[in-house]
This record gives sequence, structure tokens and C-alpha cells, in this order.
Amino acid sequence: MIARPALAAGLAAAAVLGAAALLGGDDEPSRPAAARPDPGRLVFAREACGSCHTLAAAGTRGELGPDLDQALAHHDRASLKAKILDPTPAGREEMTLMPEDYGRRMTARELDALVTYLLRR
Amino acid sequence: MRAAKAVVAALLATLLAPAVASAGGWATVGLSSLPDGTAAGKPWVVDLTVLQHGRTPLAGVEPAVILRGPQGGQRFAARPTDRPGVYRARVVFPARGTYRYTVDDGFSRTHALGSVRIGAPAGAAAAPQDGGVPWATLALAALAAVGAGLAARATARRRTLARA
Repeated sequence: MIARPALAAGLAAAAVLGAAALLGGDDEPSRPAAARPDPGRLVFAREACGSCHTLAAAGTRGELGPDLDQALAHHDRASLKAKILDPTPAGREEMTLMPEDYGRRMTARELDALVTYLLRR
Repeated sequence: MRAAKAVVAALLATLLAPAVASAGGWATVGLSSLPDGTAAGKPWVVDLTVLQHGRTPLAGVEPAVILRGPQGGQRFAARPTDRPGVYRARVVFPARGTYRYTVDDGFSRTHALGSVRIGAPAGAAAAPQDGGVPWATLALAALAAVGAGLAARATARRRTLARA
């Protein structure tokens, strides 16, 4: 037979350990805010920019699109925004694989953060 | 005009990436979060969004996050979520150090997506590499044991007094 004090002690320990296990649950995706990366870098990662573009600051080495370490030198804020939102503007027959719907995928604030990050790299 | 551009883009995809084209196309991988700030031994739970041609959610593949760090390479398979094209991986950096992380999209290729410097768990900065010992849980367990001991002692004392 288990003595009452011992039973109480066991239950208390189990309760505390159980609470610790619950608090330490990690099946949910990590929250971006917890790590506090640059918000523009987070958009860069979320929108898979690095799958196609090389950018040394982000550590990506995509090769399907232009090397951003080179290409960004030719952009200012306005031209970069325009390029992201419309990679193949009317009247210019540039060939690109870049999707044309980033204006719908990102909020204006996210686009701003992305452009800031890219130009500050 | 847009249709013509789409055709040109499709042709370009085939010309620029013959290897992946022969495998049925190419895909992009987006990350729901970055591992910055993750401590050694703690999980980085990340959702991978795999889009064929950067557009179409790709279901039925088996992507994985691959780490290359001080202790060599490690692969963490991602599991499908209830959202098409979205897979969840639970990645654990085994020790402090600098890691490169890549994602095998399970479809066409591996994507080099960055590097990160991983530090020691919070509150254990001066401790040696511990391989992920759950210090917080151990501390709580120790507190619980102390509390239980005090409770047992109080109960025993009450009984002694009651007999007297």
C-alpha cells in the first residue's frame, strides 16, 4: 500500500512535469516574431525568392532567376517594386519565369519590407 | 499578350533548366519562419510551401530540411499538413555552431536557403554543449520533489502531534 504522503508527492511531481511538458509543446510552427529576423528577410524566405535567386546576404544560391547581388545594383526603390509586381511589363519583351502575382501574395507593408531588405543588403 | 508571355516563360523554363525539366518541372520552396534565435537542442518547426513552377501547390512529394553543421549532415523529413503543398518539418540543431540549411523539395532539386549561427539554450550560455538536456523540466521536477518532501514531512508531523 502506498502511504498518503508518498502518493501526494507523486501526484504533485506528475502534475508539475505534465505542466512542463505541455508548456514545452513544440508541434506548432515556430513563430516568426519569436526569432525576430528582419521582416523583409522573412518575406524573402516565405515567398521562396531564394529558390530562384542568389543573394549572399540571405545565403541563398538559386540559379533560375537573376543573381540579385548583381541585379540589385541597377535598381532603386521604385524600380525594384515595379519589377517585383510586374516582372514583364507591357511593351518590354523580357523573358522571365517569375510569377506575376506577387502583388496579391504580399501586403503593401510586406512588399515595403522586402524592398527595404533587398536594397539594404 | 499575357498568354504569349506565359508560353515564352514555359519554353524558357524548359531551355534554362533541362535537368529539372526532364524530371517533370521545377518547384520553389517558401519557409514559414527562419531558424534565427533557435537554441541548440530546441526545435525549429517550419512549414515548407512547395509550389510547382512557383505557382501551383505541389502535393504528394516528400520534402526534407537538410542541415550541414559542425557535426556533419542531418536530414529532417517534412510531413504533409492539411494545406495542399504545405509540409511541416521539426528541425533540431544538435549543438552550437554555424549551420547551412537546404531544402530538398522532393520533386526536382535542393534549395540552398541560408545559414544560421546557433547558440546555447537560454540560461545555459556558459555551460558546455549539452546535447539538448531539458534543464527547465529538470528544474521543475527538482522543485516538485522538494515541495513533495516538505508536504510529507508536514503530514508526518501532524500525525505525530495527533497521536500525542
